[in-house]
Amino acid sequence: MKPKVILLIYGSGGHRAQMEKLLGRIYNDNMGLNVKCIGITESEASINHPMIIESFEQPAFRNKYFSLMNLLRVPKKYYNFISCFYKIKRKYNVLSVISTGPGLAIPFSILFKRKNSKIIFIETWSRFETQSYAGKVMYRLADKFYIQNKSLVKFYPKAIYSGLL
Amino acid sequence: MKVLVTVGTTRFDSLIKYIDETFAESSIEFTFQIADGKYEPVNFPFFTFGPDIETYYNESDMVICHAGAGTIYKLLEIRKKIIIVPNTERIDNHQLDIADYMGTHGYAITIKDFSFLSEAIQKGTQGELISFVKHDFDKTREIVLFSLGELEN
Repeated sequence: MKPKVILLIYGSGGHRAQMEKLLGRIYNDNMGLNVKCIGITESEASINHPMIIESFEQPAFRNKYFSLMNLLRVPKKYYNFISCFYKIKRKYNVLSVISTGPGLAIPFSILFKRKNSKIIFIETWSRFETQSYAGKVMYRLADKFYIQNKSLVKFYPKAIYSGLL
Repeated sequence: MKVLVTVGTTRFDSLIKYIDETFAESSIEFTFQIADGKYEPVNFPFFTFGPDIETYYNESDMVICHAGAGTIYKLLEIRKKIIIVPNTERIDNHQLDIADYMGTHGYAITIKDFSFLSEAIQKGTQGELISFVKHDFDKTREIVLFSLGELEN
């Protein structure tokens, strides 16, 4: 039987910092549950943590700088996402996807949602009066959508307020 | 007075250079954390990155920082007086978002133009800032149970 895992998707910088905090909280909240995780992250951003048994690094989904070169790389990017999806699907039973952003969470959430994985998104802690791109899209995809700042409820009326990581 | 200037992981040379030059004759003891910055301060001590950044936080009377959320929340948690200067060399609107929010609500002093720095430091020295109350994340258990299918909806 394939091992049951939670798939964590996070980027570099602040996304990584928030995921590290969430992992720490799950780890410390000793619930007597044997939680195993795998990760999908951007190049060189993998977190080393005893709960993460394997990490897959991906190019960023949405480059901040628009250019022709980036546009040409799009097909390869999608190929990478799909091959990564099948690699994970063959090896693991993904119970849920948890992401702290960025947009990298979108393609994988679409793919894993079709396989009945639960989708959980935590909107970034740095937003108060604006939405992130990932947040806008993931609000439609996620089974549970959390906001860390109360002021965001105006953009995400059905979100759950979680407090700050 | 000890003031730490910290830029996190992304260099912010214009800020470092401005402070290093403008406050060269001042009695404030600045220390700079410059990341991979190309400008190396000549008038005050500096370092690139450090695992002991929290020691520097604690030893400073005030911190001038970029608008990185991790840095801001950590500093507010230890009740440090902070001046937030969004990094205009690498503009992300979420940096402006958190900087504006903290400034508007009086949890920090936020400035976008370096020429207001001197004034901001003075304001920070004299006045008190509103203390930020952190609502600690309390959905860990819910997320784990929901993930493992032990909790429906």
